[in-house]
Amino acid sequence: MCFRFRIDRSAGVLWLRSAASIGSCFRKRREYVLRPLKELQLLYTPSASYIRSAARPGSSSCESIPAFERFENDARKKSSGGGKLHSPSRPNAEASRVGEWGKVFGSSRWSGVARDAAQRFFSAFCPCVPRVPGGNLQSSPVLPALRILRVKPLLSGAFALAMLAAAGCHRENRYFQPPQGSDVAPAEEQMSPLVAGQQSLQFREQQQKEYEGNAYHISEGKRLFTWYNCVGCHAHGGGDSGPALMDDKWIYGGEIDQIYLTIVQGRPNGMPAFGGKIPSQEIWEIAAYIRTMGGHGPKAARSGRDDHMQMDSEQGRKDEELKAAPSTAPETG
Amino acid sequence: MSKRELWGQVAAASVLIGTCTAALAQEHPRPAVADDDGDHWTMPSKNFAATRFSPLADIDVDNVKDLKVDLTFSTGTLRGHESPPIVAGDTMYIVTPFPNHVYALDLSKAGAPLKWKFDPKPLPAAQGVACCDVVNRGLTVVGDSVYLATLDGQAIALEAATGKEKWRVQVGDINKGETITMAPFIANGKMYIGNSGGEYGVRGWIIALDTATGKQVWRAYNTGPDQDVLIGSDFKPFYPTEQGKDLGVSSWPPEAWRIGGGTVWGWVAFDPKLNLIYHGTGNPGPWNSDQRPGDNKWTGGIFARDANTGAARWFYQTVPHDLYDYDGINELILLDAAIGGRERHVVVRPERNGYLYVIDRETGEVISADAYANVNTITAVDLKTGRPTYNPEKKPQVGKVVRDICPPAPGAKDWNPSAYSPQTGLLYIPHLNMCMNWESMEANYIAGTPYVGANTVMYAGPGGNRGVFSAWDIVNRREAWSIKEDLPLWSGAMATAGNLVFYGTLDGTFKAVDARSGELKWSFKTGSGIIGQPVSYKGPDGRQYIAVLSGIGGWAGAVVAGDLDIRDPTAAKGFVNAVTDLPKKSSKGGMLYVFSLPH
Repeated sequence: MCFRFRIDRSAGVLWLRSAASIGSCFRKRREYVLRPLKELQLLYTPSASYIRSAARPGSSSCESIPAFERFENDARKKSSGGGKLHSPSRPNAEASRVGEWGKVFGSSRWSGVARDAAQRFFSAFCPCVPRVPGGNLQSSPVLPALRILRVKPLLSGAFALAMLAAAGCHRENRYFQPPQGSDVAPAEEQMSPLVAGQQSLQFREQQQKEYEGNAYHISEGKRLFTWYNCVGCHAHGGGDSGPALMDDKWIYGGEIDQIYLTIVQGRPNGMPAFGGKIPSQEIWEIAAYIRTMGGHGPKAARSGRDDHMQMDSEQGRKDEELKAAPSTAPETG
Repeated sequence: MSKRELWGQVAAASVLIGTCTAALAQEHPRPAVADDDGDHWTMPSKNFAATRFSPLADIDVDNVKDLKVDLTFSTGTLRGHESPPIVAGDTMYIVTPFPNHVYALDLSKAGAPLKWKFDPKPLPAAQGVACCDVVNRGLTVVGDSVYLATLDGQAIALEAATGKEKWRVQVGDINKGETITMAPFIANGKMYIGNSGGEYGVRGWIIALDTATGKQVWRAYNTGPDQDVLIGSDFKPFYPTEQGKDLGVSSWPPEAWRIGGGTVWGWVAFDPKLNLIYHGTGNPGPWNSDQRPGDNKWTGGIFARDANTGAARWFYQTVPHDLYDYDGINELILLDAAIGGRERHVVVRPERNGYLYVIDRETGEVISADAYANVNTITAVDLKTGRPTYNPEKKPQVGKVVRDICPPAPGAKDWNPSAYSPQTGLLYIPHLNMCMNWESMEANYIAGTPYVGANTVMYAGPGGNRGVFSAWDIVNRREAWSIKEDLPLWSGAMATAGNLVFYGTLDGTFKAVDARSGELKWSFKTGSGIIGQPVSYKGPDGRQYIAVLSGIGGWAGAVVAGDLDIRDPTAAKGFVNAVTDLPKKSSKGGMLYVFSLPH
């Protein structure tokens, strides 16, 4: 496993370049520009290595991910021509490139950054979707719905078999790409239950149906709730600097379309406006997850509860022990 | 009486006097800066040495039992009231939490009618980037001016007589996650003020504004290149680990210092003789320490800076590569004491990490560092290197829940300042007895949103009491006495010459205890939890008064002030789990209480 990366903070982009063949994920030398970085003004900071678990040789293609704009061959041209992608303090384009490219498993001082970049790359934007027999996931060149499916490659075959075996169980139909029109913003907003004239709830009901009962969307919403730092203000529903979301008090409305608009527009007492920064479907997923905090929607679709932080959770401790066991020598006490 | 006898007696008397003086000098460190105005309380720390000691003694251990409410005043706001009532001349000044209203009450008239009210109209959106309630830690009155800062990052000067605005400057940017919650420190013709936002990926700074105009005199960042940190040829830190070029860059992963915290939201002290100001620096960001290998200079420590230029003189890092959000912003008390047989000019710091540091304020040398609370994260402080020894068993790691970390993220003691009585030689420390479970997670930096990367859950420490009020003998380096408090202590302490110490609890009980023994002498249940700073002053009528703001909130009281849901143990960064009983013990509402002996 080896790929190279470069971070250009001034332009807010992350470059990734495969340096060798890695399963089917990076079959050719390519460079990627991670677009959302720019949009979100993300900065990269190094972190513990996730790469071994996140980057899985044998995972399938990342090519169809719209989050990336792929540059083959012309990356160098763009980079040196535009000048935008270089730190102002390093005017020499070539020197900058050579100096700032790092290897994922290299021993350079960049390796921490590289690992982190790779981790983010794989965990967030590179879904490495398994090739499910009969699935249409690979067929479309642009799939806005593609997100992470954390299926280990070794298991992907088994997963496929399981999918086939379970076909008769009807646990749930997973639509990764929602039907046309279900990821759009509400046309109108009602913040009050008191509405002049006749009220149309058709759109709300449609969105409820699409998102609130769908385990995939809810679990994605849960992940994104942390990913976009919602958790920093609202904790896991209990609230912090922002209000609690698991209770039945709503300042700006607690229906899924109202939550959607609160996220998009922001609210004057401290809720930042995320409109244009988070893809529309992800906002619906976050809103769906928030709805489950208050116990709305079918129970079967909800995410698992995070009880592992509880100090009195015996199960939490056991899980920790299990996790710790294989990696370390047996300890007493 | 023979000549010989007379000389003998003189000699004996001299020895006695000498012994007494020596004993006094040894047992009672003296405040480094004399108190100019013992009758009033014009700044939150009372004086430049930050003793929070009132020399008034009309109210004492014997008569305090008769203390009665003399005056109340509703502040009209519902969030945490961490500020002290400030008294200068015949007027009392109060600044509320957001929206940072300022009230001036005329103490010379019956019922203390409102003289004026000032509404700075801060941006409501600032509330979204205030990590731990929308508090304000106080205003300061110097001469004919009132100085304050607003949550949305404005520094403001008002005419004390009228409340008319003299100047106003925007110094913080909420879109970077910056707010201001600290009380401005006014000395040397300058207003020293810093940013909050260590949980939002800000870059910490402290600035000095000209008190006459509001114009910036200097700005010092606490991360980044030496030039920005104002580290130059005068910088002479005591320990080798603080020496080297651009450590504010090289002790971080590439570029991480730009969003690395090191904020200044706590207390400042000033030594006019050395012309140095002392200030702490907050936690590095994010909380997830795996994302920022290195010492993360200059976060989590103490700076001594030239008061005129801001040039750094020394720095001492109490928590290199902080693992637990142990901000280094607590109060700094400047004392002169005979320690180890010689006169030392020291700064005393009851640190968030649970150790009480006595540091030479001229050189930055740590003279002693002793645990004053239950600590299992740092086993000792090495006085040779100055570095704490972290307990490897408690080191957070991504993907792992580390349990029973003591003290928790708010530390053994958070912002709420202690008081020092030169009469007893004791430092009165209101603090916490809590522990936590910690899970580090990846934090994403998105400007204007939290940058934390940790799930935490807190709970009571050993013994079950969540608060402790300790009296600490500075010279003998031991606890003199302590009071176990059921609820976490989030109010400041105040000592008076009447041998009394005052503090409040989260259920709203305001207490006076004997400064020598800790014996409870008086208490009064106010309307809401107390997280403010008690003060004492002599009124225009010549009588001594005790005042405090009641109004629950802050990190500890967020569960009440923010209507948080106790079913989520991680609410308020895990503090809620430790105080699930609080909503039954207190409710919101800001109110001033002034007490006096019966007329």
